[in-house]
Amino acid sequence: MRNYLDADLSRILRRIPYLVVGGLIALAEIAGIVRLYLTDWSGVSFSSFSYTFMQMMPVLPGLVLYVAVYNEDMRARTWYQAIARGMTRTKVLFVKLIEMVLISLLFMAFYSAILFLFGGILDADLDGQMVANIVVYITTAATQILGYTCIANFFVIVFSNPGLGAILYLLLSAGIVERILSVIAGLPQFQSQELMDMTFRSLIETGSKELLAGGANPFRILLILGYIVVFFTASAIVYSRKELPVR
Amino acid sequence: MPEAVVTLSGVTKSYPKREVLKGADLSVNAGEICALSGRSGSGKTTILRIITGLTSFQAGTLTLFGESSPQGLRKARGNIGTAFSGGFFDYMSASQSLAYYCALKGIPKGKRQDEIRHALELSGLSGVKIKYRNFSLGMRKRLAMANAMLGEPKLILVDEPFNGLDPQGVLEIRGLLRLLNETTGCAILLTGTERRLDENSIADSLYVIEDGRIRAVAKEGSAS
Repeated sequence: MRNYLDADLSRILRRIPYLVVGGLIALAEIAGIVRLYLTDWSGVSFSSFSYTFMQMMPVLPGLVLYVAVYNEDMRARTWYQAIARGMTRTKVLFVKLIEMVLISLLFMAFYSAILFLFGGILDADLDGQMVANIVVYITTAATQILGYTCIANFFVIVFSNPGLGAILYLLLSAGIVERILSVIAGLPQFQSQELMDMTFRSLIETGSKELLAGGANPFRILLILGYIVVFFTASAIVYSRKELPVR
Repeated sequence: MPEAVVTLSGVTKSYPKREVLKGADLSVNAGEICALSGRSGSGKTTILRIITGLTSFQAGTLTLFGESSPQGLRKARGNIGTAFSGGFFDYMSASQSLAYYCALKGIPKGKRQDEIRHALELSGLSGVKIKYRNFSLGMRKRLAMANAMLGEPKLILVDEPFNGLDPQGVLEIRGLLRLLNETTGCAILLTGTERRLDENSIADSLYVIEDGRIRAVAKEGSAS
């Protein structure tokens, strides 16, 4: 497991196009902070900018990370080599999930460092509550990346279609799946707000608001974790029975 | 008596609409080159997939290096090198691809450069700087074999090494397989779409898969 993780992390972190995208996002972040500084600079506006910026994280760089960790490997079938060397399929999926967590955290840490660094240098006048809020935005974005990854992967594995993963991840992270579900939930036959409240995105947004208000419903946090665990477990079960072609 | 590195005994494998293996028996001894021929769709690649755990089988026994329990098989698979089509990132060069697999196979860092250099030399890919996406079919097959030899495997599985190659390419791959076998002493199980001169000329033992069963055949020019 450790060898596969080392090999793949090293591969992704040396891939120039991903580093370029990561750098461009950082530049956009800095440009946003500077623009804010020149127009409407205050702790509140800085915190609001942080919220908007972190909301973008699951889409970009989340999608890029998803492609790097899963799509490329699935298309090249490099992980078959890990299986052919005796690694269980569940462990292969687990390694990929750990990779996604580690690389997401690395990217989030990088962008958070820029936020706090520029906030400090330009004296954004942040109080403790604002800093706590920004930490919640970052945690929310990281959890979203993890959840969308697990959900997208389940369908990739069921349909044995690597290309589906990036599209589905994009639809989930951009909120398009949520909108489609809300249209369905709004139909007279369904009319169910409860259903919409239980979607992953909705649970995350509500949980985030609760955290910002100073408390969180433990049941909601369990449901969020449940989404991740259930989709990962279902993927592992389906994948363990899959026929893996070598051509 | 030579030691068997892989043995399949009465292995059956069915897909939803057809039965591919109907009690297949096969044994590959340490240090030998074994060729498995058969028509397209006869189940040759399925045999390789069963050995590597990429697919399951319904009945029978698979023994790898004396291990036949699921856990034992997983451990034993660490001694296998595979040369299947694909398995490489488009954007990597030959040496980058091998470096990736050195890490994946857990080869100590201090030994990696030597292993990569040796594998590139044997496969004739030394000095090749282009990316995998620009490789010819022959180069792809040679890289697959270079990867298979990393980590000193005791058994190498090669899926259709001569398929789609011109006569020169066939000669090169044949020479590489023989060299690999002679220099490392590893057993090689290779598959081919038909019993061709290519397989016949380098294999120590020949098998044909027909109607879901495997039977040994005499080498052309041999006594039996």
